[in-house]
Amino acid sequence: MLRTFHLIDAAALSAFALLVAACSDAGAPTAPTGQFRTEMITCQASVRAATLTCAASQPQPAPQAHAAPGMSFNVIVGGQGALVRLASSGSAYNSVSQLFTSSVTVENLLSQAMNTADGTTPDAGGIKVFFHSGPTVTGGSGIVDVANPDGVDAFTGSNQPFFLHSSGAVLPSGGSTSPKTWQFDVSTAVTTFAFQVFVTTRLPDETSAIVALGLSRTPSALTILPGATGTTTVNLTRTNFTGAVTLSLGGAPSGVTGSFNPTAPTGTSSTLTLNVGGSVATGVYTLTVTGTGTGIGGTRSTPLTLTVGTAGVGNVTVDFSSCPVANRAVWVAAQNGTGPWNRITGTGDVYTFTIGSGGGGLAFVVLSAGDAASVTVQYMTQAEFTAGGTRVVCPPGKTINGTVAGVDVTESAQISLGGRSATVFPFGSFDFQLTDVPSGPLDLVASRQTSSGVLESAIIRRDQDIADNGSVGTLDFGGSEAFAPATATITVAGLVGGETVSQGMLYQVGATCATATLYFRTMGGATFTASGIPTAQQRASDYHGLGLSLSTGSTASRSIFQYFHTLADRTVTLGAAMPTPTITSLSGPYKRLQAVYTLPGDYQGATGFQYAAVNKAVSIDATFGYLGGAATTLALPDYSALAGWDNNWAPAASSTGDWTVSGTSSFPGSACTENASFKTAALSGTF
Amino acid sequence: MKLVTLCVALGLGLGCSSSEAPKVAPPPAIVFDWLRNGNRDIYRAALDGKDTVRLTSDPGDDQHPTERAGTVVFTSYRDGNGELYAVPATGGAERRLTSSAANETQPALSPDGRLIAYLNDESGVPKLWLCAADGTNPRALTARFGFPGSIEASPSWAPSGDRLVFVSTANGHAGLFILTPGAGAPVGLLADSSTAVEPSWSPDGTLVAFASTRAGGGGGATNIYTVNVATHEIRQQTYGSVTDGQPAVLPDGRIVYVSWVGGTPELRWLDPATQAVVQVSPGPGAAQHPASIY
Repeated sequence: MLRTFHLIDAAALSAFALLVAACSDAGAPTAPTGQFRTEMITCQASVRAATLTCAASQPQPAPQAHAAPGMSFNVIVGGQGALVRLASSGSAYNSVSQLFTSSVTVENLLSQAMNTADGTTPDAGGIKVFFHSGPTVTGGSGIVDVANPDGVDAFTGSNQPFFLHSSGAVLPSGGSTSPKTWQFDVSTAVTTFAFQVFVTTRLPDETSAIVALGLSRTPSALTILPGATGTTTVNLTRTNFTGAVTLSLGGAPSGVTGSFNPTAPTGTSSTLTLNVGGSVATGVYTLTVTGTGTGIGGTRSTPLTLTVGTAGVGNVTVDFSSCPVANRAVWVAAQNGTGPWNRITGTGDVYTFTIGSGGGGLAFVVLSAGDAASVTVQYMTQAEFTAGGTRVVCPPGKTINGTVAGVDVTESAQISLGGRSATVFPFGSFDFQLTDVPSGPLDLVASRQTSSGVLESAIIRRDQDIADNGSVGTLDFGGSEAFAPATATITVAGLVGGETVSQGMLYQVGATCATATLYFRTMGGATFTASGIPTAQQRASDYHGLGLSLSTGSTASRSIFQYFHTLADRTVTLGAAMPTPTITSLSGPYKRLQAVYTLPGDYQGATGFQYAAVNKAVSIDATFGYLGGAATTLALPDYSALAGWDNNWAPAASSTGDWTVSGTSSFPGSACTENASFKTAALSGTF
Repeated sequence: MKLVTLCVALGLGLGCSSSEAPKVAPPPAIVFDWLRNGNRDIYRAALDGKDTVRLTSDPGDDQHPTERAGTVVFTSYRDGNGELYAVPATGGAERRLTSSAANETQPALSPDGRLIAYLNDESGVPKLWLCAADGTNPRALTARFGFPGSIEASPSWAPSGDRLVFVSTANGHAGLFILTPGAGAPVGLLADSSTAVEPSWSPDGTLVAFASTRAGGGGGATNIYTVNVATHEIRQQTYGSVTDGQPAVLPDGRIVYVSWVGGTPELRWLDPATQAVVQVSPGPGAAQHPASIY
């Protein structure tokens, strides 16, 4: 059976030309004259579905000047389909011969010919697509290997197989090689495999600056109501190309118009404003932004998803607008009570919907590099949904810098501020950076640990209100502000044999009871010494958070955090293990797993069920208040009938992977509560 | 150079007098990945082929082991992409160390076992990263080195734990670089532009073994070389027409490596002092990526 195999937009010809006149730094990179260019492509194959999906390197940031004096780098930056594109005409798996076969071409999107050093004479090397990593089995069991390589060579390692394309012929700009059959030996029990390949070839001009242009857009998807407008930024990543790029919009449905400002940017961005007429039908449309410029070897294009929807109203608002673009939801739906799921079309990455007294659910999808997607479903009561007003998914914060001293190569330092933390290993740099730090006065807590995690020293600076991008200066563990920790003996109740145990100590500080980490380390036995902050260094509102984490192999884990003001000898009692759930696969166009289990009494605060296959992850969470009892049934709903949903966001129906069920205890609301405990447990398996 | 055929391999000393076998100390132990019975897993064995112990058994590919302080860290593709796992060197429960959409591959434990240098392709191409031995606190090590598309591979620690040698295509081809944190950009180890891959820093700190096509001969075949870190003197250690690669210098100075014979990988060790070469095949299958157990 022949099926189409998809090689998604190879791109990002990762090469450079170096303009260097008098480089005397023997250690710095030197001119790559006469060397091959390289481009990485990551591929994942599903044997059962007879598909092979490849993604190129992600668009790279603009080149940065190298530190070596007299040198400059001219980096070819990526962008889907910008410089090279692999394409295929079909793929199939023959279970008798155990061969997975695909036919592949290489398209040259450069402004110069490939496989030639002088522009006319074919290079003997050809265009080689070589295997940097793999193929490796990622699902099922058995063997996978390249069956018909054209040879092996040392590119980034020894004995790497390669396929030779365009042997004996120059590949002109815009041309494609003849199809070449790639074959893989694949055992019948292998369900998926993956590999990373690079493309190498000779170019006529490998020493001068190579012109490149990457085109992308932020955000990649817009939701606009009929009669309204929306904007996205078209980003131009330039390399040695300063000319104007004329932008145009294609694929827009009737009633949708777009305008660029500027229309022909000479800079690195242009704002695209989309106007959606009042009569445009609701739905999802794929538009194309195209850039044309003289000297870039053709056009560049990038897709833009436009969702025309209806206005959202209700008592729950979820705000993704302060998240990094890559972390914003591309699709949102809600369920009021046990009613049907409805697609929610927000504006400006803010979504509003109604949750009634029976509680309900929120579902959203976040996409990331390499065709990866995560589907999140959350079930809560009405009170839980509406508590605190607008639910800001990514609270904005400050970036705070600093450095540590008095830490040697056998030690490490942990710095916490406003619930954010960073670790410094004295391997080259003593600097640290904290991101998304909340505003206002905060207590900074820093600790130094030995290589085995033993707390040696701590520093606390109270009421720090550092400006955004400011610095806390140097935290010197050899200085006068550092102090030795207090210790106490802890006894653990409820240990069972075979568990790996780690202990740690948190420290809750400030008006928001922000969490700081003092240390985490492995331990043995039911009695151990814990370290914390001496009473003389404590404020009345400070609380310790003693943590224990236990795991059995890679399948089961338990943890407990117990909070108290003064560190003293105490006994901590662990919670029960999570029970084994009943996992079944429900019908649908994608993998819809269902987990059925009974929550132990220790974990009747919330529960979760996660499962993941290659590049696809599903997370379903429910609060105990929503569930109304210990009996738990969680499953991924069938969203395939909802507008904008893409079945490829969820694991494929034939996929395999891991699942995890977890439970968490109820909590008094603040960790700064004497003897408050927070317990969790999880259990994993495969599907 | 002579190939002492199988006298030491498999621990079968029968038929080989003691005078014929190389004069060696008690055999060091190695870890390696071994594709046998349709599954690539992590194994340990003595260099004489004895005492083989299977350390992992997941159906997904496990490969590229590294050992320090009694822990073996390796790359596993059981989760659909490359992630780092750990298992006691004597066998036992496996622990997942990393969990991300990127591939975390080719780990190298620091001599004190506290850190892992490895590759992370979050940026689109594999770059050198560092994390704690439990997988926490990952960070990029070469953010301002090379260019965004330059590839990095095969990190190996200096025995002092303060330097790393690794492969980078920063110069347009695969070459060896030494990263000394706090001392600026990584420094090239080899003066010429020959392809050099898979470095392994010797436990005494004086040499780096690597694979290279510098001898020519075509066909992409690599041989094993060593370079003196101080003098930059290069010595060729293997001379065969087959591909020799993936060297790992053992504490006693021997170099264990992989030789592809008819396309099938074989584990061998060589003694640079005597030029003796011995096959170390634990049995049928494809054993690769050997590393010393310290």
